[in-house]
Amino acid sequence: MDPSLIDRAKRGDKDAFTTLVLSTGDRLYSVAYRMLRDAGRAEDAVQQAFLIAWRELPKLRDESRLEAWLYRLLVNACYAEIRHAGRWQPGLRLVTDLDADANTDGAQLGVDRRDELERAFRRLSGEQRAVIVMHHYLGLSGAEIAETLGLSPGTVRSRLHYARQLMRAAIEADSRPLASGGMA
Amino acid sequence: MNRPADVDRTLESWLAEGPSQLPDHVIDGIVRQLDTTHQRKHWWLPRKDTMTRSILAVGGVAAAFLIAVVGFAYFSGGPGPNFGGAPTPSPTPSPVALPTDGAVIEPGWYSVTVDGYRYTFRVPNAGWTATVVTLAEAQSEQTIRPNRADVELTQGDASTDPPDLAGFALWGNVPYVHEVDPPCSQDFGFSEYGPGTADDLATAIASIEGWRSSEPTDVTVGGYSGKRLQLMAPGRDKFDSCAEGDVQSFSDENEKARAYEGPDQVDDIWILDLDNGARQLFLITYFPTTPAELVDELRQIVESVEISPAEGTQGAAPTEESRLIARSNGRAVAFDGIWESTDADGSHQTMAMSALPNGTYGVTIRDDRAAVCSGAPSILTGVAETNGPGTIAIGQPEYTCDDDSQPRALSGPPLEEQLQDLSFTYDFQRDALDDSLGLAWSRVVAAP
Repeated sequence: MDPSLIDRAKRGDKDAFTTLVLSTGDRLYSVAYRMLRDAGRAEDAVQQAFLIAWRELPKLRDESRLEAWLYRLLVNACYAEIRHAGRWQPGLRLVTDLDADANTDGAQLGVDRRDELERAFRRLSGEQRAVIVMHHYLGLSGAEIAETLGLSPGTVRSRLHYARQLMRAAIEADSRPLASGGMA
Repeated sequence: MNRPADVDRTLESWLAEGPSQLPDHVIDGIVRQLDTTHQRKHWWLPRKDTMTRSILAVGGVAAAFLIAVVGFAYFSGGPGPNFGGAPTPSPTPSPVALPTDGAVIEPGWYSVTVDGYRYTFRVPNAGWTATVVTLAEAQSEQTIRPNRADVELTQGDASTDPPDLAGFALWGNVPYVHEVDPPCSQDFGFSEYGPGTADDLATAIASIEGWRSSEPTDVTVGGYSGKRLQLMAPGRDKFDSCAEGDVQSFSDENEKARAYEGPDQVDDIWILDLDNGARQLFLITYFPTTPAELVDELRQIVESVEISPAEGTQGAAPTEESRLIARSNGRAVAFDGIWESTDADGSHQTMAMSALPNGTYGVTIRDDRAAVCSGAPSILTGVAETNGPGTIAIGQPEYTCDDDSQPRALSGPPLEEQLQDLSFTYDFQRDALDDSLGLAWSRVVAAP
């Protein structure tokens, strides 16, 4: 990231900040969508994270850490979205075009398995979702996740361990033959 | 059983699915909101790239201008508290307008007019550099408030450790008092909604956890009474645990934070109640190593201040903010009144908020057609308490359907769980409330 661009944004240059949004927005949105599993809420989280970033940018001391800082703001915004998920809203979730795309891109995963993963993932806490996405999607190490989220490496290891256990259980349950006479 | 590697591959394959491009309308929305989202400014932070300190206030409305005096202080022995002194009788001044171009000023009387008030003060000694930030310049720094001026007087280099500086400043409304220990503000949501009178603000500042302060005492400056106290920033250990600029005590309504340069920095704070309902802060700041002579000089500047309505005015008209944070029995009344919103299901909701004597708010929300009651009208009631900056929350709201049916959430957790800690955040700019369920509430009737 161009340090002069960040410096200009810190001093209130909106064009510079917009350039930062354009250069980092896709990555942040990808993470938000994977944490929240909902395009609309992911958009809200990204918007919230960027506006907080704009407001707080003058306080950013180490400009080389801008992207990690943005991820931290985004994850906090996703936590808020998860906490506020229980708002009054119709019981049916609208399937957006983006969701439809998501359901057709991964041809290697069966529908049943994808549903199992989806359900299992939604049972994870926001904190567990964050470490799963950062490790298995962004490819960050435990130490990198700890630094990004401001956690101890032990906490990250613990969250990752339990989150993977839950996801693994879901995957294994899906791979077992269905028992006859089970509850529908 | 799947091997861990299989699980990882499955997980990674599943996570790889999904969109990866931020839609344009989101980018457009972000860019639009930059105009109404102010960057959090820091005041009196040393700049490492210049020998001259530059201090920019993005100040409040009520008396939004800043005067800062920064000096060398290569001395030992610090000044102690010096309360109780009567204001110095002021000679008849023949003030000149404070220079606007960074000029070094001579000893003498200077004046500046802001928001309908004229402030006149005496600078005892030579060596200060004055700069007034013009409105146009201020606007280029994200200032959104009209009718304001920023003024700075500078001298010396403040980038030493510990900083060798002392100063004097004027601040306007300060609705946010921080309450974190240690006082690092890198995590937002760190402050609480502050009071609107000098007495309440002084009490709130004196109560900041982890900071040392004196008891607020009565004070009069320029014919206006108020409170005065001293506040000392945390010591080295706590101070150094925060990033530079993250040690803060309070903020104005533009979220311009009072940031501190070093451990044990002292603010000598004078808070006056102006007769238009606004509040004015005078700040003297120094370190234990600052020479007493320099601090005395700064106090002389404060004590010399004369305040009068500017020509053609009877004092500044109360601003929207000062009106809304006007006090009623020691409580902010911005929430008081009748509000309305449109629910996600399209129904119309009306809310009555009423400040109660114990500092809480009685809340009643009427929904004319509640989906959670199968379309029957409903009532939500509860008592809200302050739980953050400009935010109140109802811990356990009660929800009943007019037809005596049991309200049921249409999705997600049980309704009681969804409604737990239902909060409302007040937005000065819009005079509106945003609740934690995502609804915006507009004011129908303000409190009397």
